[in-house]
Amino acid sequence: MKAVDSEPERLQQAAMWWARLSDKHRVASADEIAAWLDWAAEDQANADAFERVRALASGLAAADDAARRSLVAEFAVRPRRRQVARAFALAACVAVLALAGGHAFKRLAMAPTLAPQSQHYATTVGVHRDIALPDGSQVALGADSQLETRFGADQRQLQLQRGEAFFEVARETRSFVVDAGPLQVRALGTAFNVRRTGPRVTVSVTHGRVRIAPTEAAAGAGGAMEAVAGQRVSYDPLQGRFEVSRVEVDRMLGWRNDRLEFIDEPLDLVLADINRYSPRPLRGTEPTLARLRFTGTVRPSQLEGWLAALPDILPLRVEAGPDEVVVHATE
Amino acid sequence: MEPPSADVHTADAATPPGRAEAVTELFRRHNRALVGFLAARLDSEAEAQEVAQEAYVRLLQLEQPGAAGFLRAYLFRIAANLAVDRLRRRSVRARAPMNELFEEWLDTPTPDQRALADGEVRQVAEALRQLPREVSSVFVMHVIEGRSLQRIARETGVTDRMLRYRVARALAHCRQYLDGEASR
Repeated sequence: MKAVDSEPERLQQAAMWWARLSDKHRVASADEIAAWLDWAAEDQANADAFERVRALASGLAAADDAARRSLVAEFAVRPRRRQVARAFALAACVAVLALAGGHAFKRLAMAPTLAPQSQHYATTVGVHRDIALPDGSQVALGADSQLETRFGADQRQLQLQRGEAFFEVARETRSFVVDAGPLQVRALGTAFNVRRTGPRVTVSVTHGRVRIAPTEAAAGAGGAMEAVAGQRVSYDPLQGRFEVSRVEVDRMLGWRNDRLEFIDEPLDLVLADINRYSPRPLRGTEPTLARLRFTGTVRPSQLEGWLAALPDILPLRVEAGPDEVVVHATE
Repeated sequence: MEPPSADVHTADAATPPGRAEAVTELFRRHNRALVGFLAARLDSEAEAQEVAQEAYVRLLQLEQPGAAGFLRAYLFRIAANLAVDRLRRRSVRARAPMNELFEEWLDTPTPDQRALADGEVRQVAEALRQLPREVSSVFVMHVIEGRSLQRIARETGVTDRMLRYRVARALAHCRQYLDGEASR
């Protein structure tokens, strides 16, 4: 470990050593012991810090039963599973969340099929917008988002070029199709959520069912499939296939109420998503950020607090500058 | 703890020549790290001192001569093995009824341990409330309940490496919080 430049960092290193050495299910390797000796000998203050964290840990373990039970009751009780998602009051709603690359947007914008009757909607960072579509459908467009619509005689076509949107679909005979890059989602009198971050797309169905078809960009994913309420279908470009899991889908719509929900998502994609709400862009430096996974709620209105707490959850250092916030991996 | 006495052990025919000096040197340089290492594994300063003492004695009697670096590695290996023996003996003793709640209580605290006073436990709770839930819960499960990180990893799907980071994070935070309260 590198030399410390602050006491909190020294304590953190000492605590890391305690966590490693005290793990009875691990055997310290020769290399690890050598590293430990180097660290302990490097500075008298290191050894002091280690003794202080160790005394606290063993003092806690030795505290009386009542004290320990109270801590267990407050902090270590397994969370109860949340109620299954309530069915929507709305007859049919479609939420689409997408993070498309800039060049993908340019390509789509130039596509001839969209040119004549298409309508373009856009929002800036941190701003939502409500839109009434000509067929009576309602759209809540998320922050930093772009949406193209083209309503023809047979079809209502929508392309979410970047960002996020929540659709309340008016029932009629024309189909309602949302294009989200590698996947195309067709509403079958349903409510569903699509998240698109680059090539990675996740569809969560809250009500009814949807038909999901891979486009050319996802040729390896196989044929079309249908997903029903309570299911989440992810298309991971690295794996080249669908993954189906169960999810509390109404949480995925929390963005309308200042709640961005993430379930086991790569941190670099999480940062990209949050950037649609952050006045200062967040930037990750190491490729290892993609290996770190994040699950939890981010409130865009309280982004500073989330960033401050982030190093508690993941081995990261957050450096807030005037123009951007840089996130470094520390391990 | 006093350095291992060269006088005593040079009298012992089993101690190879020059070994006592080498071990004394090891003691001077690394005893604190060795005792810290053992105390973390055994959760007892007194037992750590005993085991360290025993490790030095065994090292003095070790037949194979080696370079100083070798000797240092031996010292830690002997000490680690002695600690494992202790833990094993202890876990047999510790299959007591209270383990219903603290099921993986491998490291039953020994009497020399200074337990945290109620006020300090309250401060730990205050410090933990400042941390995200997924951090405080892992800390309490591991340090207070004695559940292994490997087992928590299986239950939560978070890697044990990440859990270890969170435990350390919480421990450092609590330590800092208590130190701040003490100096107030």
